[in-house]
Amino acid sequence: MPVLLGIIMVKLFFPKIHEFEKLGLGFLIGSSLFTMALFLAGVAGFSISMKTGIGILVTSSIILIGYLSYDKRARNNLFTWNFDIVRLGNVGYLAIIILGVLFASSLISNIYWPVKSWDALTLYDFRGKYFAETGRLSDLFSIHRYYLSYPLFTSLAHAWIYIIGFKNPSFLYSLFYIVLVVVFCFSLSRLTNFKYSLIFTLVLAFSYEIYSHSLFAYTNLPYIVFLVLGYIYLYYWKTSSENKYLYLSALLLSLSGWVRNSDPFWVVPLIVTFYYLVKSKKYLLWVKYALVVLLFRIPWSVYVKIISRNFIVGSSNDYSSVFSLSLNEYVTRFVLVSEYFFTNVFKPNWIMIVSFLAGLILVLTSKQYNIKFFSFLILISLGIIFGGIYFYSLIYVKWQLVGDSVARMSVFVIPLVIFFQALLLYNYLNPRKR
Amino acid sequence: MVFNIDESLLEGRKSLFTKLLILNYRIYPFLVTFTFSVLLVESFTYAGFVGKYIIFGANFFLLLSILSGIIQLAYSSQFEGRDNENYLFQNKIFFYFCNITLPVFVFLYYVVIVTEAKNYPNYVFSTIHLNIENFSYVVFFNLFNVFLGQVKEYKKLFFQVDKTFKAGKTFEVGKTFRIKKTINTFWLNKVLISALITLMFFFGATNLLQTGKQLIVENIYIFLNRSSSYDEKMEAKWGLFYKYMKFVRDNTPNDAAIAIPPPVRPWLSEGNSVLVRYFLYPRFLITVENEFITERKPDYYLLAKGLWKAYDDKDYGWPKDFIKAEKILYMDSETNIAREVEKDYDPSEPKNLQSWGLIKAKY
Repeated sequence: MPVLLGIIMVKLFFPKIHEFEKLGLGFLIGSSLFTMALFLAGVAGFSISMKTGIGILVTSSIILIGYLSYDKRARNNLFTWNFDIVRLGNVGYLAIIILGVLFASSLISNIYWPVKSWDALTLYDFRGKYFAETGRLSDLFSIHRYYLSYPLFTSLAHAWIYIIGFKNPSFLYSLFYIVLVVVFCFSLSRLTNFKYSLIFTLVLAFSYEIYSHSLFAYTNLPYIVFLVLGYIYLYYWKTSSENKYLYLSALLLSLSGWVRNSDPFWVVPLIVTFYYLVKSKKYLLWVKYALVVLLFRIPWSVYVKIISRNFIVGSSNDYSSVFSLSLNEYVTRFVLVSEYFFTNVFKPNWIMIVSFLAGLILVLTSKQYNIKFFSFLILISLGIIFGGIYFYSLIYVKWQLVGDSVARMSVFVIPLVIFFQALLLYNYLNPRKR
Repeated sequence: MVFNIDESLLEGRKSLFTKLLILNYRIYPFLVTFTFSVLLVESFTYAGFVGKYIIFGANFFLLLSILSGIIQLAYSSQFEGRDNENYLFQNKIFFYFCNITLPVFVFLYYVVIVTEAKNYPNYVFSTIHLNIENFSYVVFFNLFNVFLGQVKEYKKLFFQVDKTFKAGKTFEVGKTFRIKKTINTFWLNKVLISALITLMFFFGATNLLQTGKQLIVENIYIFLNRSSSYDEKMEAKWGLFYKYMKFVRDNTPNDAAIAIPPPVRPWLSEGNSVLVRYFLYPRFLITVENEFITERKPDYYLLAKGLWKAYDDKDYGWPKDFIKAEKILYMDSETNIAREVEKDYDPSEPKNLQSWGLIKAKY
């Protein structure tokens, strides 16, 4: 039901995109806004339960119906269907069957295996089970500060799945994988053509890092989906100049903060859009964009600050060490971080990074300004990964022990680079269609 | 700097660069055949075997062949069709050979993966001495050559790109550094596009093999163990740790207070309060973080040898102090059944430092 409301919202504002793309976006927006509403209800004192969930859904439906009765264009959009299907040929249908096999395999694995991965047991699923059984939000955080580490999106999603009677919420991560692949395919096809986009969609779907992330209940894959699609719709805004895609990008980036709030990549589109919008003197548009990006990051941040005052166990971050090193130590740390970056970020993703750099040279020697825009998003993101590791190394003594986490954090580069290469090669191989 | 190839490529004087390109085109089938051979040898021996006898290992020849392939992709359309007939024939035969062997190698690869999945890790190597991971390089390399052959077939692809760049894009390294040189990016772009296509293929092919392997292995396991219970599945993933948590859960009431070891080796799992809490909640856990804050005394102590490797064998076993106990429940790690002994807990008893169980405290 939350997903259905999400789909309706997407249909109202984006009637022309393909129905499968609307389905995917509806799933993302519906599930995240629903869990956000559950969280706010929990903070306000309501229990995390079926009653509260139904109350939220009924209230949302009433608001939607009210809006529809007021806006005729929205009513027309609701009943606009776009199921454009291209004649694919045998190879195209084979590609779709292969994608279906991948989706089914991920789902089968997630239905079979219970929640089993370390962080899922210690944090995400434990919180979900706790909320579902007790209905209470804040009590858990007084047991250990660790339970405040990450926002509650996946945990509340787990909780809702338990509340409605399912025993295993792992299938959720297969749905995120499917949504990423499907929305990637259709958004790329709007910029190229469907057969061409299928090739790169297959490359993405077969990516081992992306596929394997769909098999465990961590926040990495949902975060990647929100972030990557936020970047893609931002690029689509740049090419189409329709501001509603800018706001969609902002919404997705904002909701990525509801999945994971410690990763700073939401800053990248703000930096890049600042440059372009200020250059074209659209200051107000940038302010609106920034406000939407921050919108869904604020509730959790404020809540953590309030709750953290009452802690019994667990330590908070000490930032004083950032400024207490000598110049020589900063330089030595830079060398160490460079080696660490090479081992944990470059080596696992060397093909993507090298091909991105090759593509970047191509773009810089051409006049493809829109693709340059997208390449800057990726380049600054890689810079932020390095900068983030450096900053982290100044705060935590054992910073080098989290190589796996850093490698997982950089996986979002893969779909971005595939999208970038797809656009670049399409423009070079179809010069008339530029 | 202009990376040009002479228009009348095989006539008259040729630059060193042109000669190298022609040489690359002509020796490609031989280089790649040699690479195939060393990769096959290492599939039946071990990685690094070839490097022991020739200075350069299989990876070197693989990389060299791929680089040679990229250069072929960028430049061969310029002189293919005008080269000596024998060399053209050799290249054609070589690519036909790759097209024929590819389905055979792919089929063999997936047969060995399925066989290994149905038996145990290293089964294939122990029976037919085939190293699956090294063999995957043979399959990948074959895929690469088929891809190369197919792309070379579509010469229009490159003629179209040629027309795009006929005007010649120049990139002036002038204004910032006051160097008056122009770089004609025409050929640079061609190499970069070839490299991009090859790298995308490389990424796609390696991930296809890796993901395909995981998919097959995972689904075979699920099929063979389709009626496993929740406990059996968790034990498959967590081993003795899950068995122990289940033992503790089955032998303590929900409102018990349980003391757990500190989160250091060898108790990085048993001492991790957030991990243990997943299995034992709503039981109250007394840890190093809250033992001096909480008013509750432990009803039980975990009797935990330690799953993680200790720095010293003497470190195994917890608790380290004498405890007045109503009884000690020793866990049989095979059957998970508790064996009850009514006595106090003494850490100096060697058996206690190697056991798993529960101590019911006496006050």
